[in-house]
Order: sequence, then structure tokens, then C-alpha cells
Amino acid sequence: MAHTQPKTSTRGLVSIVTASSVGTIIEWYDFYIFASLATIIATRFFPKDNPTAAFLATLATFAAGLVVRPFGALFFGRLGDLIGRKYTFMVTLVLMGGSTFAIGLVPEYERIGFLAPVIILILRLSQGLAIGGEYGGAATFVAEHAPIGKRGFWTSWIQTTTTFGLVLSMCVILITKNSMSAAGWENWGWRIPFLASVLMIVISVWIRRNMSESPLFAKAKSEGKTSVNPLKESFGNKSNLKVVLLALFGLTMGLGVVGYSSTFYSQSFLIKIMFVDYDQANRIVIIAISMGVPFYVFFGWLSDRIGRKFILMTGLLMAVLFFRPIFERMYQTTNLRNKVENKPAMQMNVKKEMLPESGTDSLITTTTLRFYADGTRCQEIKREVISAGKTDSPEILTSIKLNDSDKWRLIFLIFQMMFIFTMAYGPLAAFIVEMFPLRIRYTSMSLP
Amino acid sequence: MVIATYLIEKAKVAHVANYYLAGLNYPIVLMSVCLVIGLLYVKENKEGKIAIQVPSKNLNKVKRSLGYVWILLGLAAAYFGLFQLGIPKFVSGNKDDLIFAIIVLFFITPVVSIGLLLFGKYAIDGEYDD
Repeated sequence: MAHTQPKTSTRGLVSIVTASSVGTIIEWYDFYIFASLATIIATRFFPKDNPTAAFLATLATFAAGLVVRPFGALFFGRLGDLIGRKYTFMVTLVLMGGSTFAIGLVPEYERIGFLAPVIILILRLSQGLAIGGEYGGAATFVAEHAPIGKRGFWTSWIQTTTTFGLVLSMCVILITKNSMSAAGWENWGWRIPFLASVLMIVISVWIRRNMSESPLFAKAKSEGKTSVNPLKESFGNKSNLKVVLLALFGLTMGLGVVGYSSTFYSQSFLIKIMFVDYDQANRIVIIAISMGVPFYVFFGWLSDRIGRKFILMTGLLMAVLFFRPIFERMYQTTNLRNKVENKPAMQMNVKKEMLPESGTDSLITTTTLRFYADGTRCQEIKREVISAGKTDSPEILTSIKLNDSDKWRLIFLIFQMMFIFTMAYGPLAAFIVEMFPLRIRYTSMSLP
Repeated sequence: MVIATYLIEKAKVAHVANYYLAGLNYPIVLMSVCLVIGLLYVKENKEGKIAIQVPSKNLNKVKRSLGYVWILLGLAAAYFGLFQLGIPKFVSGNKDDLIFAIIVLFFITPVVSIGLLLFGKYAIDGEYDD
């Protein structure tokens, strides 16, 4: 980079990183709360007759938020390159917080029909626009304050925000869920994590209000070296567009997949494929990914010494080679075929009740509790509707409570994936910032 | 995760033995493509100092040739997104599938396929040569 880096004291840098990170953590919280509550959103805002389709639609809505991030980056990046990073941060915070809060207020599908998923989609897209502007801005902001030779270290703190945001979202859900009855949580309690966002946004805005503008940007602006049309320069200019595409397909696309596979997909895999108890699965993921957080900073620091590409590509290679065996090992940990059942201890309870709507149809609920020699416990709830003498396909809900040994085995396996991810993600912000010139940096680097 | 979940459901219905790993096929393919592109095309750029590299005619030839592969991948992504995922869900008649179809057809597929087509074209034109 041709610009001379103005010097910011270490204390100043700590203050800047803290202000940038706090807001980014909260925006990631807002973004991830949607995915963390995907199973509930699927049942509330989509038709209930096809749970698989509803869950797919929920995940697709989550994905839409990711896909529009570049457009948020385009808009807020242009804003950031024109008016400065600081004020743009405020706008992204308010947009994200407002959208998340609004999700908590949307009436369910049963009340407003197809309007429910449409409103959810629009709000999700708003979240995507906001996070598109936030993350790129935060990384750019810190990088432009960081001294030469330490950019990897200081920007790696921004990389930790994605994990902190996820952990925060999962903790808020667990605490809220366990502080009320199951019925309360199912009926209205699940809205609280969304509504809580507004408090967090107020805190972030308060912290950021005294942030100073990026010195590099301020200097460039005073010298008239900012771009009047960063959008056109980023994407109308072939030499910049080709770098954007390279960053997308050579780095962020793959590294993003590493991240989502090691966090969200692990959580979903535990709950929906392995049938681990919801609360236990979330605790496992929280512990495992929290253990990985220090390594973002380690690999960011290391990249300042030995280069960034080697570390990034090593992380990506390890993900390609090891993720499949790790997931296989995870699955076999709770595979009941590998366990010895204590058959005499099995408990079964059958309940038959008439369905009030029909008068002739009945619902049979069979609850089976199985115990295994290693302390594993499996609860299966089977619901069958008998209508006109015929039995419909039963609905089966399985939940496995793990013993401590299996729990820690799963924590260690997910931690291995997180370790690989921190290798791939720790130095990434610095690498991408350094790919683009300052005058269009916010716009360009936010896109990938 | 959307596509991963979809692949698992398909594998489960087809009674594939280790169906639970089917969802990983798509992310691993994506990571592999990214790895190849990253290794060949991305240059170390720490602190703005481009790593000293001796231009290699053979490497430049490989980069340009692979441009056709990226274009094919872009077309494959468009085909898969449109005709395997998006359109069947769009015309299924189920409201449940509509949101999924809209997102795949109008967001995910255009970004990935057009991006890959452009990337491939630039590679063929030698824009990423040393």
C-alpha cells in the first residue's frame, strides 16, 4: 500500500478494536440468532404440514441474508468511502438492530398467512445488508489504524467477533429457555432473544459515538484522494473487479464454508441427524467454539511473521481432508448401534386421547425411554393419529442425552474443526484489506 | 447448509448407507475449488508487498486453461440452481417451497454462476497471469 500509515498508540488501538468489535459482535448476534432459532422459526412462520420444506425454507431465508451481504457492502461501502467509516457504522448498527427487533414482533403464519414468511424474508434481507456493511467496515477501520507489521494481529480481533456473536446468541437462547416453562418458551419466549437486540444496539451506539474517524481515510479525504464513485471504480474498473472475484472464489467462498460447516452445520448435525438433546447440543457447540477463539489471534499474529497465504491455504486444505472423517466420528459417538442397551430398565408409556376437532379420531402418544450401559439415555416420542380405523404415518421425535465421556469427545471433535477454521479465518481480514487500494477499500473488500 | 440439508434428505429417501455424510459433499467440493483457485491465482500480499515470484510460462498456461473449467463450473452451477433446485420447487405448487425457490433462483444461483463465468473469462484472457 502506497499510503504512509499514521501512528496510533497501543492504547488507542485497543480502544478502536474494542469499539469496532463490540458493535460487530452484536451485529453477528443479530444475524446468528435467526439460524440458532431456525427450527422454531420454521414452525412459526411457515406452513406446518411439511416440516422438512418449512425447515429448508427457513435455511434458504437465512442463506438469502448471506447472499445480499455484498449488496449491503456496495451500499454502505460507498457510504463509507464517501462520508467516512464512523457514521456508516452507526447506520448499519441501527438497521441491524431494528430488523432483528422487528422479527421478534412478526405475527405467526396461523394469524397472517403467507405474509409471515414474506415479512421474515424482507427483514432477513435487511439484516444481510447491515452485516455486509458492518463487517467490511470494521475490518477496514481497524486495519487502517493498525501499524505496519501488526495488521494481521489487530484485525484478527475482528475475526473473533463472529464466534463471540454466535456464542452470545446461543447463550441468550439457553438462558431464556431455561428461565421459563417449556410452554412459555414455545408460545412467546422464543421472541425474547430477538427483542433483546435493541438493548445491545443501544450499548453499541453509545460505545461507538466517541470513535474517531480512520486516520488514513481522514488524511486521504483532506488530500482529495477519496473516490467520488467507489462503486463504479470497484466494479466498473476491470482491474478492481477481477480482484474482487479472485477474493470471492479464491478465499472467502471456501473459507466461509469452512466456518459454517464447523459451527452451524455442526449444531444442526448434532440435533437433527444425531438427535442429541437440544440444550446439550448447544452447550457442546458453545464450549467447543469458545475454545477455538484464542487461535484467531494466534494465527493473525503468525501471519504477520510468516505470511498470510500459507496459513490460509493450509487451513483450507485441512478442512478438505479432515472434515468428513470428523463428522463420521461424531456420528458414531451417538450411534445407538454401537452401544449396549440395558433392556430391563426400559420404560414405556402409552397415552390415548380423542381429538376434540373430529370426535372420532384419536391420538396415541407412545413415550419410550431407553438406557444404555455407558450412561446414554434415549427418549423416543411417537405420535400416531388413528382416523377412520386407519393409522397415519407416525411422527417420531428422538432425543439422546449423552454421558460425559461422549459429550467431551464431541466437544473435542468440533474444537478440531474450529481450530482449522481459525487458521483459515484469522489472517483473512488483513489479507483482503491489503488486496484493495484505500480509495475503494470499504466497497471492494466488503463484497467477498 | 440449505443445500447440505437438501442433499441429506435426498440421500435418506434413497436409503444411502451413510446418508448422514451426504450433506458434506457440497461444502467439500466448494472448499476444493476454492483451494485450487487460491493456490494458483492468489498471491501473498502482506503489507502490500507482493511476494517475489518468478513468472512461470507453464503456470500461466495452467491458469488460462483452467479458465474453461471455471466457466463450465459456472454453467453447472446455473443448471443445478435453476433446473435441479429452483424451478422444480417454484412450480411444485406448494407454498412451502416458494420462498426456497425464490432465494435459489434470484439470489444464490445468479451470484455464483455469473461470478464464475466472469472469473473464468478473466482467467482465459490472462488477467491473472504473473
